Amino acid sequence: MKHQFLLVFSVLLFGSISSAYSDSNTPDPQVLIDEMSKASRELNYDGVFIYHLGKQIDTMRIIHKSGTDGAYERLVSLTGNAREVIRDKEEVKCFFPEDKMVVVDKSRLGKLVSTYLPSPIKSISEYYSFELAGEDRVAGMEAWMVNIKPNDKYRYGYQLWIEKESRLLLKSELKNQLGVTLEQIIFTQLEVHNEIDDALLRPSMSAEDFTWYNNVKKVDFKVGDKKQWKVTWMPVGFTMSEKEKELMMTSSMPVEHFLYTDGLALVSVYVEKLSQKPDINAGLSNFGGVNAYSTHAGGYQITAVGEVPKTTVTLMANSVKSFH
Amino acid sequence: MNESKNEQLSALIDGEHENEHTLDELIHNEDMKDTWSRYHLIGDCLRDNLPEEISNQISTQVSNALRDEPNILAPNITKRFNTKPLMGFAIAASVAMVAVFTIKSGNEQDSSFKSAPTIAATTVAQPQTFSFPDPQVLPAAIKKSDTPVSTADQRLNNYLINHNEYRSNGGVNAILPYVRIVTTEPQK
Repeated sequence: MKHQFLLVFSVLLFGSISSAYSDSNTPDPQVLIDEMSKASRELNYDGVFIYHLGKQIDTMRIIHKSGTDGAYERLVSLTGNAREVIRDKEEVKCFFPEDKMVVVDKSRLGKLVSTYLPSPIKSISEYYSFELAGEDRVAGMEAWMVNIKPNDKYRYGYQLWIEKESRLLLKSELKNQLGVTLEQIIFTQLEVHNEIDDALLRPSMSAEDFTWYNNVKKVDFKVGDKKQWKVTWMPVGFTMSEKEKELMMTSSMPVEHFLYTDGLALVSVYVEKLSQKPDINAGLSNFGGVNAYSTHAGGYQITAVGEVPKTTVTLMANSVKSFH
Repeated sequence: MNESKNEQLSALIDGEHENEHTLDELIHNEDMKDTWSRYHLIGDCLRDNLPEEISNQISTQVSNALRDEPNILAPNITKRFNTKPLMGFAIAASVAMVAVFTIKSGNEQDSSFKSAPTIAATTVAQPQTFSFPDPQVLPAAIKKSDTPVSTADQRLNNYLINHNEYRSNGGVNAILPYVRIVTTEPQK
């Protein structure tokens, strides 16, 4: 009897040790993604990566600095035109040297996607399967491979390579339902630093003689549009996380913007009143993993945009109804 | 697939059938493509003509290569893709019409630049070594346009920039949205 007890005890003990051991070695894929997301915001890093879309390959450098007063980020294209994007908690500035142009927009850096979520990341597992796919080496570092597979045809999937130590993203592939890669990012070099020199976060061009387009201006909403809009169809699991009026350079009136998410994918639906002579870009458009679908109804253009399959943007845009 | 289609395929392989419709169907029908490959394999096997290695992806790779061809060689292939690429998105800020133009012509250059025989030969000779799945964005699908960029295009670009900012708040692919802005089409 005593013997049996010992046996049970040792099995339990051994069992718990081995599971703890395996936990530390093969992490839970969802936890990994959480940690990756946290690392990409909270660490200071400087890296070079390749962006691959179709036949196009670009090299870029990203410098990220976290701080108590918010994060700073600079993205520079190392190939082609020397475009740069510089973000802080207030603004995002996009530099286009080839056109001598800078576009300034409101930044949402630091505002987490998770704050959009109605419930924690666990609920995502109803619509996606997460699996630890193996180990690999990227940019000379050891990485965990995580697969995120959609459970239906309305979402895209990802394959992610997450560095074992820092938990930073080393490689990412956006995949459609057939497993075809639509876009990928591969780091060739990535360093984590204690400090980032502020000089590295300044634009390399003076941009003094550039034309500046500022979208951060205050909006006067007195031209109110009484019409209420509603998206009546969306894939299961999607909920509206935000509703805003956006000021666009091309629009005389603010555009209604509805933001939907299932926790991973994000779809924007824009409703805009068209001018007297409507110029409409109806139908589907695509850039890598982003699809857009536009339609029009009663003098309004309705557009759905997101990193989701064409079917999803089409169905969502077509489901928009108006109420008085 | 029915018998008559198999017969048509068989005739096509033997060079006895010159029906454009069958060819057209073959290009678009995965089942028929598979059967087509099997027939060829059987034929090669019978003639003791098998290579050391067989790749079942050759047809895909050849059609990918053909997709890069000028339109004349693959006249119908673009029909399958009713999506127009958002060339404006790459240049995102897109307030500048000039930029959109640059990119359009850049793409055309790109598609015509790659000459047919080179690509086909390379692909067939080294079937397994280097194969990126092609996304649905086809340079060939970009229409040459002499009209200025419409407000509709610009409107769409603005939506995309706006959507971007929401997308780039962390999560799985926080960098990707801005990568799409920074990226430039290949230079001439």
